Amino acid sequence: MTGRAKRSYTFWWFFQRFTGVVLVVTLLVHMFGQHFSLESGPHRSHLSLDGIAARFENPWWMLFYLVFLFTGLVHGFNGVYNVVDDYIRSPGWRMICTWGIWFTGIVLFFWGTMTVFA
Amino acid sequence: MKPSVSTRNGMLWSYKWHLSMVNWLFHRISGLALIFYLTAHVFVVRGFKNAVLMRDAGQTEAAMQKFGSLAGALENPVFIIAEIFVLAAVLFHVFNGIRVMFVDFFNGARYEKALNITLWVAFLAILIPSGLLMLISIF
Repeated sequence: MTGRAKRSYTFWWFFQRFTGVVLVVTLLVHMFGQHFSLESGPHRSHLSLDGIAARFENPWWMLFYLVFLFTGLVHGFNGVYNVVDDYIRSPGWRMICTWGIWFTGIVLFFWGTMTVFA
Repeated sequence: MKPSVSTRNGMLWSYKWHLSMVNWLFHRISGLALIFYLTAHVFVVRGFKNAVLMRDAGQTEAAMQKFGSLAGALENPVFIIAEIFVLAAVLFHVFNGIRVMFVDFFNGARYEKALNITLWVAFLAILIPSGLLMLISIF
């Protein structure tokens, strides 16, 4: 066997750690921005239609959510790929799974982006 | 090398079971679970956005109805109990991810036991009180 591996494992190994750090920070911003309320003790923040509408109109939140969504999806689906890479041996099934991962990831990114913009 | 398919069960049970291995397994399971959660979460947010669009179109009553049914589903006890599992998955995945980076970047394998203890203490110290608060919120 000669030649390089088709996939640079070192790159994706580092990529998973880098996006992991980004996700810890963005997840904290997301949770404290949308889901927690620390007034009068920790509890769920109460959802309101006005509050949600205001966030959908704020360009900073829109940008934040595009970054959060994209990072979450690439980290998540790269993780699923790692599982496929470990357990699926048959070349045909590996190809089907890889295409399935790309397809699902792209559809979800498109769907999420549509939610932010329209 | 024997094909893994026929020995998959054997492979699973021939693993040496120690805490770092359990962490690795939980990391995988929680990661796969979180991808399903993320998908569901995107759909819920889409529902809220639809309510916002209805409101902007002047259909105030339909918008409030749509919003109320979504917010009501999120306050359902079944949903809150499911959220406790989501919290557990997120916390474990985050803390174990940090542990993995210590091992990878700071030669943390030297402190394997201390890191494992820290991971489990931090995980349970946040999960138990938060989970209890969420459980109490049902009643």
